[in-house]
Amino acid sequence: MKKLLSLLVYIFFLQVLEAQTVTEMVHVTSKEQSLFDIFESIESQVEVSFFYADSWIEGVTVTGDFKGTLYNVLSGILEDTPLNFFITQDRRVILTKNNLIYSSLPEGFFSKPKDSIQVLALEQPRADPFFYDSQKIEDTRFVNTVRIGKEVLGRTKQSYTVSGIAINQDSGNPLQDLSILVEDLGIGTSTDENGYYEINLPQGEHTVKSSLLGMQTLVQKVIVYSGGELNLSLSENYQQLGEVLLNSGANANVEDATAGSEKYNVEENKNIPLVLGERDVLKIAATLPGISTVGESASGYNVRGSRSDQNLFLLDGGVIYNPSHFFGIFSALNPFTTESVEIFKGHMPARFGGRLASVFDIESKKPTTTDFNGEASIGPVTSGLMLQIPVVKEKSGIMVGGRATYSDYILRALDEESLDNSSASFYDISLKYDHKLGRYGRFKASAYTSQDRFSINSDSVYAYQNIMANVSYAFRLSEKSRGEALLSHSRYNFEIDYDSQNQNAFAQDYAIAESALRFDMISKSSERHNLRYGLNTKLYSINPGSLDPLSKSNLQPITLDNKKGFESAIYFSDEFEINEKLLVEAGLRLSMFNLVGPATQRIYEEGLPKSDETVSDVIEYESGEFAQTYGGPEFRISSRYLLSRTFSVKASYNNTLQYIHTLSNNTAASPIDIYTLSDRNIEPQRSQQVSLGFYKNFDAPLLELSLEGYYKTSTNLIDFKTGASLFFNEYIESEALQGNGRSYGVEFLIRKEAGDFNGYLSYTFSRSLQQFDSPFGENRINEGEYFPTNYDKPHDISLITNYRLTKRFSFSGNIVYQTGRPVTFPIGKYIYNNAEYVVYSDRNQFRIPDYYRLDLGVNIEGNHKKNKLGHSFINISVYNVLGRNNPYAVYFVTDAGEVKAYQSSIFSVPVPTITYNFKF
Amino acid sequence: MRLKNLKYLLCAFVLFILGCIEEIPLEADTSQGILVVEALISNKLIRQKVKLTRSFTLEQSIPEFEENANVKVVGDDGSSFIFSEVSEGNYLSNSPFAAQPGVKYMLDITTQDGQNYRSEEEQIIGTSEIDNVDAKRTQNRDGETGVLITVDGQSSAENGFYLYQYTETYKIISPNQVNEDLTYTKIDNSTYVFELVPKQKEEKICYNTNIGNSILVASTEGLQDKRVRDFELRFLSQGNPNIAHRYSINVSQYVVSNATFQFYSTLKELSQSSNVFVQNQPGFLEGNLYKVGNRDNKVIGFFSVVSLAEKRIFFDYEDFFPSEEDEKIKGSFAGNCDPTRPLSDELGRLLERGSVKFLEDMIIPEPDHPEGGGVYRVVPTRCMDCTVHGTNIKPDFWIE
Repeated sequence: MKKLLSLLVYIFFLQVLEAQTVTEMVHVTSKEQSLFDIFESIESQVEVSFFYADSWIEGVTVTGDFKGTLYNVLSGILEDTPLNFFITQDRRVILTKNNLIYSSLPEGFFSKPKDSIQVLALEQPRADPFFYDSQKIEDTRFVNTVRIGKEVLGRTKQSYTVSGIAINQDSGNPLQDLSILVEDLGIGTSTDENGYYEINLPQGEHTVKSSLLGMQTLVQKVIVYSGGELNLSLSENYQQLGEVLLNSGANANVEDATAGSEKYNVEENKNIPLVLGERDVLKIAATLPGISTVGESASGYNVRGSRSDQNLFLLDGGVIYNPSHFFGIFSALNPFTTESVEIFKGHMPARFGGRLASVFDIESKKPTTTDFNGEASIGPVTSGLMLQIPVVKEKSGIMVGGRATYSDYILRALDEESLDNSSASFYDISLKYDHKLGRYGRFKASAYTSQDRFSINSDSVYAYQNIMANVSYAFRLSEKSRGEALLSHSRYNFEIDYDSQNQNAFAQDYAIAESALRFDMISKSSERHNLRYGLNTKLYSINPGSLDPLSKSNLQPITLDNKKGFESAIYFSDEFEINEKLLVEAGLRLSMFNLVGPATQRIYEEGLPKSDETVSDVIEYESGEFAQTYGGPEFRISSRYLLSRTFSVKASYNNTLQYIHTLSNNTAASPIDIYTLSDRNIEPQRSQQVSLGFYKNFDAPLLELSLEGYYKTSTNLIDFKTGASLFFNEYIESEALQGNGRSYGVEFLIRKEAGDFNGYLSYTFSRSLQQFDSPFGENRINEGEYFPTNYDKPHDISLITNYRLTKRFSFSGNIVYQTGRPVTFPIGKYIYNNAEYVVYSDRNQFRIPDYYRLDLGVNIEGNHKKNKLGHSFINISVYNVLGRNNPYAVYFVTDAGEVKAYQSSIFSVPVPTITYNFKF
Repeated sequence: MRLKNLKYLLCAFVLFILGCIEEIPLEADTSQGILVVEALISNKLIRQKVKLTRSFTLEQSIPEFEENANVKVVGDDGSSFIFSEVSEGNYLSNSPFAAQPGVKYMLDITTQDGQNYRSEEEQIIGTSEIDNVDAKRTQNRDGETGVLITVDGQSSAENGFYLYQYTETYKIISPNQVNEDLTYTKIDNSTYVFELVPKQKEEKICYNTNIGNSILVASTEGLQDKRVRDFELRFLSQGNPNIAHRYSINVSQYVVSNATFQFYSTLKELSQSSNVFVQNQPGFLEGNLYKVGNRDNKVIGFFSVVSLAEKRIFFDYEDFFPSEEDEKIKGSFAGNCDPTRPLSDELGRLLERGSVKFLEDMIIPEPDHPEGGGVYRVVPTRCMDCTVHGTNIKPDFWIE
């Protein structure tokens, strides 16, 4: 309401400038003439127009001779009436009754202008009331000032009757039982069934608070000069809240200090058409600037030219290792249980760490504690259900959600013959419990699991699984500081069953688990400092694999020793508002990694390639002994400078360390990539990034613009020799290459969030290069020169739009264009052992054709009748409308001694789908 | 800030970033192909072989041979073996030699353009023994019936790495057999005079030999008893004409170094499709050869020193497919062998082209016979003369 009023004030007074804009002389002689006639006469003399309500001046007559400036003449004419006036810059005269004037100024700032006894001199209202910070609104008691009656010098009556009607601003209906309290006097009254009230008030300034359950409380400063009317108009409570959320969110991009972050609400993106109609929590991210994937079926996201293992996925604070289903076609997070996703791709706040490139901070829905409700969806691939169940009213609740595929439908849909004998299935389950303890305490528990099972060749079955569970307790130490303790466990494991007829039938597995404890504090030590500090530690435990021969198999069982390590950090950061314009978030994180025994570490002869032959010593570490320690400071600095209220520039510097690495010699991340920890021979990956960005918001219609550039370097990235075998390889260093990375880019985003036509356009120009050099030929890639990574896509454009035709129908469309990703192509053939083979070019010397795609969708909301049991939502969409055969990979096979080339694509035809959602 | 200023700022910013872009030139395809070296020196006393070719463009189908190169193998015991070119790109050692255990050998090549290439030093890893080569009737994964040839082997090496090659030889029997040939004398363009003469060469029974070209590698690393068992070498479906009569396969088992094994495994892996979702990162396959004095070199191939064991087996079609049903499924190289009776001018032209062979003299022609109105019944040459499919010289090792 406050906001709305201030907006009204703003619009109303926008054109009001100085009172003396009309300087011509006016002469009016009147004898019992009506105001109608007088105004008409003035209008004929000077070029002005009058605005008023007829009822105000009906029957009012004036007698006298008035001469002078318009201002003086009007002052004279209206002296004995309850009317006041303004003269606007565009030569309008606006009459007002009872001096009912709003001001957006803070309380106590009001003073009567000198040059007018009736017109308020308006300080420039805040330039754009849309951009109030929500925080500030809570802090500042926003007070309207209302003047009642007309001040007349010498009038001395002590008490006047003030009366009025209270109405619901939204419906126009009178409000009954509205309580009206004069706070400074301690007196009050309430409205009758017609919304009418009357109260006696002494002359002077009073604070009047009007409140009614379900309505926005209205606090007004009332200055009583004489008796009069004070009509009240209150808005419904929820509307105001909605507005504040929207506005503060829109403002954050300009005002906060974090450079390079994105945040989106999952529910708000439900209209975006996605493949097979699956609403996807993470795929949306890839349409934002700076975030891409290798291709449609690649699991993993490449953030600002970084590898997919350099992202930290946190679900309610717990790590999820591989949040993808079915390779990477779907993400493994249930959209109906997920509230929001925040991605830090530039500045990584000091409280996060352990991965180089980004943090995906995913928050699941907070369970409601009041009403039971839920959501169900039926789609061609999966069906899902989410329930919110209150446990203790107003105190605690549970949210549970699940999703599963029905069939191997997807595989049939894919245009690939070799998949005919394949099968795939998956499911995921999310659970969250929230319990309010006392006034400020809050206990939360969150659990998640996802499971995938697929078979690509008929004789091997792959399965992988994520598990995450955590509990946390949030508390308040004092008014200024609060904290949270979190205990979390995550696990990722996969299994391969290879059951062929020969002697090599086996079952093989791999698992990584981490148990983490963290403690975070936030302390607002003063108006200008917002401190965050804390510590965390996690214990990694990796089962690098075991192999169990199946019946009849001649294979030897293999069990590799578990690998363990501690990753710990302490951090401190201060968000320091140096002045109104400059905000700096400076953080320092000290991180440390200890590889814990039992462990066997090889020492290699210096100056020689690492191989079995160059081992000079082998050191055995006892259980619990630290075999290797790495660590270092990580600086996290980001600053914002406001060029204007809606325009800011941000700069950041960040460096990060990563002690965990995926080992993969595939072109894209896959579910059976294994993770390993740093050790004596595998150094931690390091990265540093600088970024500079400009952020501008335009007022209504709300438009958000940002332009950001970054430059990033990394060291100790891991790659492998061509054809390296990674499973059951205890000494991975003999196959591994460690090299450098370099990426840079500019990201542009224009977003319109409100209105019937909304959406965003993102464009990224970026490069991502890496280098593997060594004195030894076998350890070099591309002669040790920098070359593009597999996900180097210089131009990446996404246009996401939604057009709302009516409240129930909306259309949406996506256009995606990307430069084709680099690939390694054959440049020649040769004969070896009587068969033809291909000679490959330098790594990633060529590119597959550019990728583009158009998706269209229609969304139909069920009607919104209040008494209906639930609300339905139907989404009809077509993915890849143009049927563009976007190649995903090109590969070359030697078949019967001859080379044949093949191209694979994932969705090469338009894929139409219908999904049905139901909320209750 | 006014909008205009904003615009300037944005432009300056974009230019700043775009200025950092480097264009990476595409390297022109090397005019000369990359040297390809196939060299597998064994412990068998023979004239050892090195094959030198060049890689070629994707459009071509035949490699260029690397001729006139100086090739030698040098042992660290002071031995040295010179190789000479015997045919295009094929180099044989001037005298037979066998690689000796414990001696490290190096391959040294100087091509005719003066480039010197060398290999890493390689040596024999362990003995090679073939326990058994077995052929059995079975069904493959697609449900086809046929003969599967497997091998069992072992080595003295702790972790055995094996490379297999095979050479198959099979008997071909012509479906039509007569003892005479029809010769002709051409009088003019459409007039021929025919005469029956006894056959000059063996056309009934022939033999053909193929060298297997798949990469067959096995490892006993991770196996309980360090033996290769039932390693699948080759599957021949029942209708394959190679096994229609008598079939022989000679299996060579090379016990190789881990590095050789890795090289061949990777070569194989890179030439197979993995699956549509996961693609192995392809790249240049480093061998153990390098160009002397040049950092940016590329040589394809691997110089291996191996111990070799060989074993040959024979079997007949009837050994696995004795029934009358099986007899119908038996394959043939000849295809359709329906006889025809061309008129004399047509017959003359067919004989001239060598596409038919005499089957029977009808003496009295039947003008309305569906086979034709000619005097002589003939069949396609491939049905009568097996030298179309192989050689009529019986190999020395052949045992009936």
